[in-house]
Amino acid sequence: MSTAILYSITGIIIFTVGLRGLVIYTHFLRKVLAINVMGTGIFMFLIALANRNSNGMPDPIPHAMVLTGIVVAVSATAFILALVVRLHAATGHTSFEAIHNDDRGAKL
Amino acid sequence: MSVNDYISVFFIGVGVMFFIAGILGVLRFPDIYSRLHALTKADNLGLGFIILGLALGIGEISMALKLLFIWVVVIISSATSCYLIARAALRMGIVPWRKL
Amino acid sequence: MNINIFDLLLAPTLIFLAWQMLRARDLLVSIVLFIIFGVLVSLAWVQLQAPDIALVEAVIGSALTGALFLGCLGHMESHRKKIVIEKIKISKGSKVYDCFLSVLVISMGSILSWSVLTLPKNVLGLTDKIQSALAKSGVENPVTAVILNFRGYDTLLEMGVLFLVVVSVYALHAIEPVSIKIQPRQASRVLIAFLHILTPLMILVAFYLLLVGGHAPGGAFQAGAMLAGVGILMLVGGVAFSFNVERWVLRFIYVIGFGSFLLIGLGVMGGERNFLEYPEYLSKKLIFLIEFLATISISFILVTLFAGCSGFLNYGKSNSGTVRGVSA
Repeated sequence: MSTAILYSITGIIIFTVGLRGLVIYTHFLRKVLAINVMGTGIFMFLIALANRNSNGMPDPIPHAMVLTGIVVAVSATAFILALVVRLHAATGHTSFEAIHNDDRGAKL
Repeated sequence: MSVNDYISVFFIGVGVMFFIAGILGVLRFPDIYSRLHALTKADNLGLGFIILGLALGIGEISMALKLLFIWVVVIISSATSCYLIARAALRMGIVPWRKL
Repeated sequence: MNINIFDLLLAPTLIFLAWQMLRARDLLVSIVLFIIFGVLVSLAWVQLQAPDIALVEAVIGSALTGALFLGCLGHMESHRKKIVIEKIKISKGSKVYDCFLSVLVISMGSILSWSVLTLPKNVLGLTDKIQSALAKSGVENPVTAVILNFRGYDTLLEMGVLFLVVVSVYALHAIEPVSIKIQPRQASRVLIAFLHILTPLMILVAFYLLLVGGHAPGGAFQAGAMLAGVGILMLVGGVAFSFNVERWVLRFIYVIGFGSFLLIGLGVMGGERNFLEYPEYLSKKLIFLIEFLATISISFILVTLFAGCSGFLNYGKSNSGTVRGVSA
């Protein structure tokens, strides 16, 4: 077992932990955290696989892709958080279920 | 390993001991103020020893200066953040612990 | 490359932290754990010989994203009238559902892991091609060469994404890009003194990172995020730091990174050359120009994004704020 394999499997496990969190937890911030964790898992997978060769030089293409990915992830996070702040200001809630329950209450 | 390496490893070991002491303080001390005290004081000194050890191990003057720079910045920022956390805790009304 | 004890300790720690972060009862604890997770992940990047990514992860992935989360949480807590006890899990509630989901996720992870184990062991990828083309790219750091030369369009679109996000954050708050509200709150004197020491240092480090990006780990994104860090500290500290420049100046700064990249990409076209295919004798200068302007744009955009998440942007004053007729 090499470092590449160890970290690629770690990346997969981190991704699955994030995926489970994304589905199970309802608070918006927790969901966004889970998305970030999933992203980190994917990045780790890519970088670990870029490190598989024997001559000691990792492949720079996945590195550049991950660098781009991290910046795009932070942009997306900032956008989601701005949406969350607006939604919270408008409804007072921090999860879809609470908003949904509120709607049902209003209809009855 | 040369003598220089042994000295370097020794200093890094001393630094790690200080870190361990700091972590023990965080885990065992009774309130936030004493924990902050343990964390910042022990860690700053520990980092100083680790950086001393690393600088001796590398033996290049430019790298040593960079490491020293890192230490100075860490000391300044840890002092500031320690102060800010303690102030926020006081404002929240957390009373410092006293031995009864 | 053989595995060492450090990797064997780090990998399970990362998994444990990810798990604990998501299930911590207090959201503040989750966010602090997220920041720690980011720092440890950047150690993993160093172990995987990716120092460029370690820098970006430490500055953007951990510090900046953490600041975004903290700002958002603080803003939401300060606006909360009644204390709502946040239930950690609601979902469908049932244990059966949770078990079913866990089984699904674990089996997916196992299939993926199995596929990793069956991959060929020794793959060179494009390393050799990049090494042989590196001399023509104008820079010596292969990652910078890929980012700004060989796959420049990726980075161009990335700048486009940043620009789009800043536009949408302004649109979301329904304001013109002029009004970042600086509250002259009683910032602690210690923090202000700290900023007086730190600001010049961080600016220096940012430009150092920009300059060394050509031949060593570093580059526009690291430098831009560093400058954004200065901006965020000033914003939080309430230091006299004004976004109240002329409207067109701010708009110009937001657009200059993306715009200059696009214009340079178009400008080098003609004859045999394609979009973004720099002539060899100019490539070094062009890459530096793009990186320099991108750094400035990135730093302002990131500060604005932080402001948008944490209540520093004015909103809710005029027509917004009561979208559903529910008072927040």
